[in-house]
Amino acid sequence: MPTINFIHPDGRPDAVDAHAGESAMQAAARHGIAEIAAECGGNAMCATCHVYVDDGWINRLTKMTEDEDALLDGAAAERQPTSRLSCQIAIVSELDGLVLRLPVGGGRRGDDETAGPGPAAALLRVLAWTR
Amino acid sequence: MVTRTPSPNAGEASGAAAVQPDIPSSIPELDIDPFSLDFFADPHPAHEVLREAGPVVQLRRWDVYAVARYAEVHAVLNDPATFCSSRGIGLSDFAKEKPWRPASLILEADPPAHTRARAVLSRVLSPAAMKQIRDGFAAAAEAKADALLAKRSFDAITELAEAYPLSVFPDALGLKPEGREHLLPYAGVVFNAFGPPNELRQTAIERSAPHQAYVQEQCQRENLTPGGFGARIYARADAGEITAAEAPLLVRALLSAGLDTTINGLGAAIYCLARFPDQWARLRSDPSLARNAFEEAIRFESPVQTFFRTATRDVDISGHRIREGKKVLMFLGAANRDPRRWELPDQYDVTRRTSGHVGFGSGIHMCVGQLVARLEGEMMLSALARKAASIEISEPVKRLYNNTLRGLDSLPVTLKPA
Ligand code: HEM
Ligand code: FES
Repeated sequence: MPTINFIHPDGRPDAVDAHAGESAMQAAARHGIAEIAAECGGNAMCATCHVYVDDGWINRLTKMTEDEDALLDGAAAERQPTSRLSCQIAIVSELDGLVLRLPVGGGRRGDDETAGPGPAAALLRVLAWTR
Repeated sequence: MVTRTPSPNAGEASGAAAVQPDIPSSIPELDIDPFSLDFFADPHPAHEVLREAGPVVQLRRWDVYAVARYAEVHAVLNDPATFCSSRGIGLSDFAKEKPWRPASLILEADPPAHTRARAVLSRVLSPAAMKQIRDGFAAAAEAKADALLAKRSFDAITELAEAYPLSVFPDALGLKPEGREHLLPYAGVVFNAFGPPNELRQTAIERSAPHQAYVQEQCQRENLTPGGFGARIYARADAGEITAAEAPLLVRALLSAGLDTTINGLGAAIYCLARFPDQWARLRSDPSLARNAFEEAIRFESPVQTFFRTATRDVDISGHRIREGKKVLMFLGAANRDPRRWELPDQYDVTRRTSGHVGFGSGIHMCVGQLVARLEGEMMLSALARKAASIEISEPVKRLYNNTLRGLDSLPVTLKPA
């Protein structure tokens, strides 16, 4: 099971177990990573799943499409050469250890993880349906 | 190829006494008419029946298949080669019946034609394009909130849910000031026309001529203000991405789908926040939740309730066979409250992780205007959350009756300033 290391804007790391075949966004969503709002649900339409790929990894990802490129121009946080949309990063075993930095205010939402039992359990179900 | 698995709920299927030759008896047959006034008045109990009867059901009244569970709705939306849009996303099958208006180049199209049109609208309504209109939409929302607070008591449908989008969207599109009174009636016809040939649809189409004339006229290049979404569509035609003849139909797509939808979305959000004061308090304490409060209202109320697809081949959905040429009705609103997918689905929760709801659809046809909708929702709710202490329903609400849209006709409220 590949592990993805998400780094929050304050430097706090979050190691997330991902499944081959899902997207980095789906793995983040399952673990309640609040900075990734993923408003369009992974349909490459919203740019709210923006991440900065660690320098050592950027060349190991498949190239972005023109659509992703155009979407990144509209991301809420500043675009950098290492910017990608996490819903467009397909997890494969070779990406074990991938490091993705989360942009400040990337998720746009004031998510509060103490908001009740809902999100995490519900997200576990998402996976079952979207796989 | 096809295995006829027994229905998981044989009791429901037992009513299928007169089995027609091409209808396998294992699919539950129901008498629910999802386009009747009774259904519109309170669809949730019927949604539950539809979801629990099986993964696929048949609706006798209109001789169609239907899916109401999240997994199946999501699956149908994401298999456009099997479940096509080009034969119409209403009950009417364009392979057998002439569409009531020239078919949409995007909504009622399949790849590869759809792909081209879609690329144009995605760029015109991209996140980058939203950055350019954001400040203007914010200022209009502030002004609207101030005016409504001065007034205190008003109808939140006409004076807020309609008035705010009407104050920003037609200008963003680049419409002339004259004739805008046709916009809402036209959209009403479009969304009624997806339904079956019931009274709502027939009356709407009979009265549609003046609205159609306005829309056709307004979609021409010379009637669109420079810089607006409409003019940008024409610029893409000039660049050769679509033909000059296609441009007006893409402008029409925004005109049909861009106003009534956000109106009912905003109406849904206000209705939720007025009904659930704890959620209003939550939003007040953190107005940055505004965007999610709007999104959750889209999940909770699903202003666009249903769309159809047509099967392009014999296909199995969760073990049930659907024949080529059959219409499949997708209950977006029921999927958005499916307990198999959502924790406490019948609760409106402004902090819910809403990602994955199908209120804007999913897959290649997923709403191309969703960023505009969210921008309007976020701006209006954020302004209200910062300026108003409370929002209360002051008189009984009236429901809107439309074959596709769910919303209110009137929502009298009283605001107290913060
Ligand atoms: C709350 C507001 C809105 C809701 C609930 C909504 C809902 C939807 C849904 C469910 C679809 C999918 C149709 C399908 O799968 O067949 C869709 C498509 C579409 N929407 Fe929206 N919509 C909203 C706002 C808007 C706005 C503001 C615009 C224009 C600026 C717009 C333009 C369109 C267009 C052109 C399509 C067709 C896309 C395609 O077929 O590729 N919508 N919308
Ligand atoms: S989730 Fe919307 S673009 Fe990635």
